[in-house]
This record gives sequence, structure tokens and C-alpha cells, in this order.
Amino acid sequence: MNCFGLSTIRKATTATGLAMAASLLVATAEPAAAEYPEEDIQMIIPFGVGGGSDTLARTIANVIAELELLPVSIQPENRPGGSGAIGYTSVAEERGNPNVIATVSVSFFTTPLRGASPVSYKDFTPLAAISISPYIMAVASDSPLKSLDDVKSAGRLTTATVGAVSDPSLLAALTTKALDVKIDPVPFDGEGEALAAALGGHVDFVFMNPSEVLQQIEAGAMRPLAVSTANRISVLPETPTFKELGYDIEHAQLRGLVMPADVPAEAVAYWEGILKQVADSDAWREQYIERYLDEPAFLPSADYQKKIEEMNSGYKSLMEELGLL
Amino acid sequence: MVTNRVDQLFAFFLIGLGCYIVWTGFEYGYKRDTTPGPGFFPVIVGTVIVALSVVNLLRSLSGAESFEDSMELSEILKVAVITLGLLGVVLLTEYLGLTIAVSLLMLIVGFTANPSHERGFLLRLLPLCIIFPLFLKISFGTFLDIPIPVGIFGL
Amino acid sequence: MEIFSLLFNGIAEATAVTTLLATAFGAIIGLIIGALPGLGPTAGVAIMLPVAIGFGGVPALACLAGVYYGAMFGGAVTSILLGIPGDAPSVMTVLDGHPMAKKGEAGRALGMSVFASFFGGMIGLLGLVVLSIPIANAALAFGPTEMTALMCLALSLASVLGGRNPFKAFVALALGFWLGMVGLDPIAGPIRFNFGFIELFDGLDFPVIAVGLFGLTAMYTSFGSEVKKEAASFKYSNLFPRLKDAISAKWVLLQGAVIGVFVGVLPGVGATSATMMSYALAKRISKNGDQFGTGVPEGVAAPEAANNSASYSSMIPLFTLGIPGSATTAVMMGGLLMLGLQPGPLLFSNNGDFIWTVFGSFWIGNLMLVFLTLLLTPLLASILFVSTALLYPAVFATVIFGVFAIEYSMSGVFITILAGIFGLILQKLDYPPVPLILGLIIGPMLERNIRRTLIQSEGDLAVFVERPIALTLFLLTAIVLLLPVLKRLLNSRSKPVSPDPAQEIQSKT
Repeated sequence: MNCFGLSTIRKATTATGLAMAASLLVATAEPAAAEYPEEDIQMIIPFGVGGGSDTLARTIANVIAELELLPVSIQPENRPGGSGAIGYTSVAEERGNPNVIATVSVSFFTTPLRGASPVSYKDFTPLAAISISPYIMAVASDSPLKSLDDVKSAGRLTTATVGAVSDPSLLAALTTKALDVKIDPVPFDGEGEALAAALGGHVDFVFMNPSEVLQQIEAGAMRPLAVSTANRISVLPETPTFKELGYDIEHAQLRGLVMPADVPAEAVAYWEGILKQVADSDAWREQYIERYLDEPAFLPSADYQKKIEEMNSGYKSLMEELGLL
Repeated sequence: MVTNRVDQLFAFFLIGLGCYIVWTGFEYGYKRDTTPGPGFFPVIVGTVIVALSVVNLLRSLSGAESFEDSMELSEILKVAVITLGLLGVVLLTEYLGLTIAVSLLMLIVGFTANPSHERGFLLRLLPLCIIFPLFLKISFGTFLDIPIPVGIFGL
Repeated sequence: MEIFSLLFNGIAEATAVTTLLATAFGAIIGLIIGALPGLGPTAGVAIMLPVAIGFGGVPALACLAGVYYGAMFGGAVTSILLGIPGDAPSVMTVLDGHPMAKKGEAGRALGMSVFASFFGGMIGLLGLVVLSIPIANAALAFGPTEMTALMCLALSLASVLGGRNPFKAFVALALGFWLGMVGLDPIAGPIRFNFGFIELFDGLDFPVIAVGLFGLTAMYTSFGSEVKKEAASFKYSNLFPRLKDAISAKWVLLQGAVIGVFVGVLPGVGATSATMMSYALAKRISKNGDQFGTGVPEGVAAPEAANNSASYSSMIPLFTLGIPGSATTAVMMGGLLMLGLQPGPLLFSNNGDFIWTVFGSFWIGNLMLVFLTLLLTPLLASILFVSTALLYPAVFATVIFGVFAIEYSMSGVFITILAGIFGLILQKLDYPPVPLILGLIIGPMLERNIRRTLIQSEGDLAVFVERPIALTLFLLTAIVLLLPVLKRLLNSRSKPVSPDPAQEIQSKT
């Protein structure tokens, strides 16, 4: 165990990007003063085993353990129920405790916005985001829609989403505005059902993550029209972004970690350092990025905070339009 | 006769429930644009419950449907005791942990089913109430990795 | 045929020691998890995911699939012996399985369920291997409109399950619909009927209700009657399975298996609906349909054949198209991704050997389960010789642990207790529980698909008759509903004096 390199939190606060190098350099010079973390880290997963959030959380825990980044171990624990409300509430209640972490999901925003959870994003401290999950706008290969111009001139279209409030329905709302075309989202109960509806021609297009739709594209069953990120994505270098095509649509899910509010700044900086190492590691690339076809990224705490606020206001305006607020 | 009275009360309760469902359905929104809203089906289902429960109530009052009392008092008491035991588990788990709470429930169920102090029975029931919850704790908690609530005794 | 040589290669590959062990391990764990009250295939596969992935490659997937179909075998055990549904797809097995056990024919019922599971599994596997691509493509033709029509057909078939008083049956059905609405409405987004409890946001878990409504209620009622019963009335011969039952139920088995294949493959429909349709259809076509519910082997055969064939056919969209059509296959897809495979239409061409070996392991696993469960049957059936005062404490304890494990929370246990009391009231007042369960399963699918259809069509109802598949299904629905009426009319004309007693019973229900 390389406890030395990890014990010097204060140094790591100064420059996040250089956290690892800095701490390694001073590790031998300055013996551990304020030991953090001393206790095992509790990782709360507000959803059941086997789902996307569960996989993400456990993969992060695995990579950290494999790279031996922490002197303590991470204990993942599933606390499902209440669309994430039960798990996230239990994290937020640990105000100031830097030994609890959780991953962010769409429910992190939407459940509190519904007024269905006593806590909201303000009760958490973002640590860092370590990858981006882009959305691809795709149509079945026999669809008459060949480009965004076709979409623009279509008049009225339908799209399959997963639930009434989700990233695809948010993107549908953004598309409606940017392309001035009527889009009716048809909510389904899961990604599989939504994909089946698109392949069967029951809806006109879908917004999906690469891991859900790339195989269909490669097999020629579906055709990508545009991607929702700021830059083109590595798995579909030929597909333009909405921005390139002149439409102001940018929205992707960030994969990151949060802690309860009011944790010491040292702890945040410490975790920024750890997560930076995770994001840069081969293990993370092999076990998550390549498997789930995410785009590599790293957003430190402050940037991630800003993104979280932006996303929250995005969902808020979507829910206002749907008459849910 | 008692069962008939219960049947009428239950139908009455269902009429109330149906009205509540219809009422809430209208609050959720019967229609949204051109499509049924989240309250559309509650309104229909609530109406069906009310209408049919009225029929059931009338049939029972007119004597078209009648029951012979099929439950003895001792039976009702047994069900009540076991239900209280089950609710006890829900309440006590926080303090005693699931394993011990379930162990107590097993005693209650065992003695309700066979209220005796016969030695042979006690010699089988008591060990069972100790060993079986532990066995469940190990199978669910350790083997299936499910976080079984732990109480003040650390079990 | 080429397919069969590929399959035989696959089976040969799957006899590798590690794969065999993984298959057996998965099947046995599945059997146990399926038998535990409440926990079903989805929970089983999710729980075993981390362990199985550790095996790597073919053994990992063989193990996961083993858990899945093993659970389908195991669910019947508790349903039959104790009247507690071991998991959602075995709810219908309770209806005839438990009465058989009460008559002392536990072994016979268990045996029937094993034969039915095996036969259903074989038909499902045949579908998976031979017809997977056409079946998967046919499934894609089922959009919200077609699903709506299918749900209507399912409900019309199931109208025979109502019991004595049709008014009470429809009230129970409506209550089931209502309970199905609890929680987040996925179409418009509000949370309905949660009475302010966050625990209810995600709706009521079907097994939580089913275990209470059938299991607790069964145990409550038996406190009055069964304690007095002498175990000595049980015959030893009835502890053993009877192959004769399976042979005489062959048509029921076949229709169940075929329904399982076609319903199981549809995204979002699932094995539980398949068992309901199969049971209802069997009651309609079987010679002794009017005895269904009193403990006849066909009543066990129909749902068990359907749920096992559905478990295999639900893997068809996963392996051929990369679409997980159910919660269980979604978890399995997670497993595929963790193994570094990309599920999709190219899976077969990119990883053909792998997939055929996995399919091979399914056949081996299905055979293993038959021998295993047939050997265990007499042992399991003799559980009923244990005195209630010792058996029930253990059963209540297992129910609590099992229900807790579904959502990791005591609120589920609380809901089960409520459902148990509610079930007792319903039973004493002659409200049949089956329509309620039916409403809870079919209701949400019907509501959501109607609303999806009308969003697509912008409120135009004509779509329901414009699409050929939907129209056909609606016509079938009309025929199913009108047939008893027509029969009665014809009967009253031709034989005005004394109608056939069997007809009489059928038309009453």
C-alpha cells in the first residue's frame, strides 16, 4: 500500500491536475499529519444490483482498489427505493462526513424536482466527473429521415424515451426548439423497449447512448444523424454534432461522484486527485470507457458543480413544460 | 350473519375508495392535449369499483348473496396474534435486528399453532427458533450479500 | 441442417468441465432462489452477476442463464407446497398446485411441474435455436397498438378465471388495476397514489403483493382447518411424480409452451403474462376445464410450461437483436457487457462459437434440472409431513427474509402483511384473488400501451383497427368474448329443456 503518497492531502489541494505528482514528491518529506481517509469509504448506490448505476459505482470502486489508490477500502452498498430518493437522502443526511460517496444519475436531479425527495443537489458536494455518456440521434435504416434537414422539414415526429422525464425527453424538447419541428416523446419502460420501438418503426427516431445503439449502427439496422456532445465522439467519427450543423443542442450525462454537503475542502481536493488518476488509468479505460462506449473526460469539482447546476435547470424547465412542477 | 355484515361494510368501504380514486384521478388530469392523461384510467377504474360495489351492496342487502359464517373466533384470534407478531417484526427490526425479531416471531407462530408445553414440542421448537434465523441470516446476508438489518446486539 | 450441427458442436463444447460446473452451480442457485418466497429470476441473476462474471467467458453466461431458468423450475416448489408464489411467474401455479398438495398429491404436482418445465424449456430452446431470427423480427412488429390488442385478448381469455360472482371478480380486477397505478406514471411523469410515502414512488413490487395475497392468506386460512388434518391420510405413492399425467396433459403442455415462446419474446410483456394466458386458455380448451382451481395436474402444466419456454424465448431479442426485453435479460445484458461482448445484431457473426456454446449449456442445464428436481421431489413433498407448529414458524421467517431481500427494506414486508390481511378479507367475502393479480400485471401494460398509442396517433382511435395485427387480435378478443354467449343462445334453441351441465358451469363463469 502506498499510504505515504495519499496521506498528504493539503498539498493536493493546491493543484488538482498535479495532485498525484505533487503528493508523490512531498510524500517522503512530510510524514502524515492529518490522516484522511482513516475509515473505510461507504459508497451508497441508490438503485438495485445489476443496473447501470450499480455497474458504474462498482467499476469505480474496482478500479480504485485495483490501482491501490486508497489506504482504505470502498464498501459499495445498494439502497434502492423511491427512485433514488432513499439512497440519496441517506447520503445527504451524512452532512460533513467525508467518508460517504455516491454516483450521480438522472434521478439525482428529477426526483427532488418532483418534490418527491427531501434533499436536492444542493445537499451534495460534487467531487469530479470522470466520463461523458453522449447521446446519438438515430433512425431505423429504412427511415426516410436521412439528415437533420429531413427532420426539420418533417412537420411532426415521434421519439421513444425511457420515462417521461429523462435525458432523451430533454433532448427531444431541445430538438423541438432548435429545429422548430413538433416532436412527441412516447415514453417506454426501458431502453430495450425503446430500441425495439425504433427498430420496428413505431417511432421515428431515438436518442440513445452508444452502448445501446452502436451495435445496431454497425450492423446497418440503424443510422446515426447527429450526436449531442460538444465534439464528435470517438466511436462515430463520421457523425456530426448538432452544434456543427448549426443547432444549439448540447446535453450529455456526466459520470461522476458526489459527497454530502459541507465536507472539508481537503477531502474534495483529495478525491479530485484520486478521480483524476482513475480517469487517466488504463483500468478505467478498459473496464468502463471501452465497454460502455463512453467518452473519456475529467471535470474537477468546481466545473462539475457548474454542470450539475446547468443540468438541474435543464430538467427543471423540461418538467415545467410537462406540467409536472 | 356476521360475515354478511362484514361483506356490506367492505362494499361500502370500496365505494368510498372508488370515489377517492375518481376524485384523485380528476386531480391528476383526465386529459392531456389529445391523449388520456394520468388521471384517465383512475377515473374509469374508480367508477367501475363504485358501480359494481353498489351492485354488491344491494345484492347483499336484498339477500341475493349471503354467507355462512366460516371463521370461528379462535381462528380470528390466531390470525390477529400472528399479524401482530409480523407487525412487531417490522417495528422491532430497527432495535433488535432482523434475525432476532424473526426469531421472536417464530416463537409466536409456533405457540399459536400449537399452544402446548409438551417437552418434545419445546425441544424441537426452541432450537429451531434459534438456529433457523441464523441460517437465514447466513444464507441471505453472507451468501446472497443482502444487507440484513443489524440491531443493538450486533446481530 | 446447419443450425443443428452448430448446436451439437455447442453442446459438445458446453460439456467442458468448467462450463458444466458453472451450469450446475447456476441452475442449483437458481432453483433455490426461485423457491425462496418473493425472490425470482431477476433478483437471482442480479445477485449472482458479480460471482458469475468471475468465471469469465462461456461459464459466466452459462451460470447466469442457469440461475434464470433454474429459478423458473424452483418457483413452482413453494407455490405448490405452501401456496406461496416462489416468484412472479409461478403465481398461477399456486391455483392448482397448492390444492393438489393439500389433497396429499404434492409429489404428483411437483412432478407435473418438472415435466412441464422441462417440456416448455425444450420448446423454448427449439424456438431460440431454430426460429430466433424470424421470431425476433416478428416481435418488432409489435408496437404499442399491437400490445394494447394483445392485452385485451389476454383479459378476455382470462375472463374465465373470475369465480362464482362476476361482480366481485370485476371489482377485484379493478382493484388490481388501481394497485398497478401506484407510483411513478412513466407516461406523463407524476407520482400517483403514493399517499406521501417515498417507498411507493417506484410502485408496488408484484412479488411483494403476490406473496401476501396468496402466501400469507393461505397460511392464515390453514390455521383454522389444516391443523386438524391427519398427515397419515397422505399416500406415499403420491409423493412421486407420474409420467402418465404429463402424457395426458400433452396438449395443455404444448399450447403453454407455444404461448410462452411468443409472449416471452415480446419486449416488456414477460413470463408472468404468458403463464396467465396459458392457464386461461388451458381452462377453456381442456376437457375438465371446470375443475381448474380445485387441484388438477393440467392446471400446473399450463403455467409451468409457459414460464419456462418464455424464459428461453425472452433471450431471443437479447441474443439476436441486442434488445433486453425484460428486467432479467437487461441484467444479463449487463453481464454480456462486463464480459467484454457487445450485444447486438452482430453478436452471432462476431462471437458465434461463444453463443452456440452458451446455447449448448442451456440444453445441458435443462436436463440437469430435470434429474435434480425429480430426485428432490419426494424429499420436498415430505415437507408436508412436518407438523404445522414447526413448519409455519420456519416459513414465516423465510417469507420475511425473502420479501426484505426484494427491495432491501422493511416497507416491503409491511406491504406484504397488509396484502395478507386484505387477501384474507377478500377470500372470506368471496372476492377472487386471481383477477386482482391479473389486473396488477396486465393493467399497467394495458394503460401504458393505450396511452402510447394515442400519443403516437395524436388521439386518433382509428389506429386500433387500421393495423392488421392489432385488428386480428381485437377480432379474436371479440370471438373469445362472444363465443360463450353464442353457445348459450344456440343451446337454448336446440335443447330448450335441459342444457348440458358442463356448458352451464362454463357459461356461468
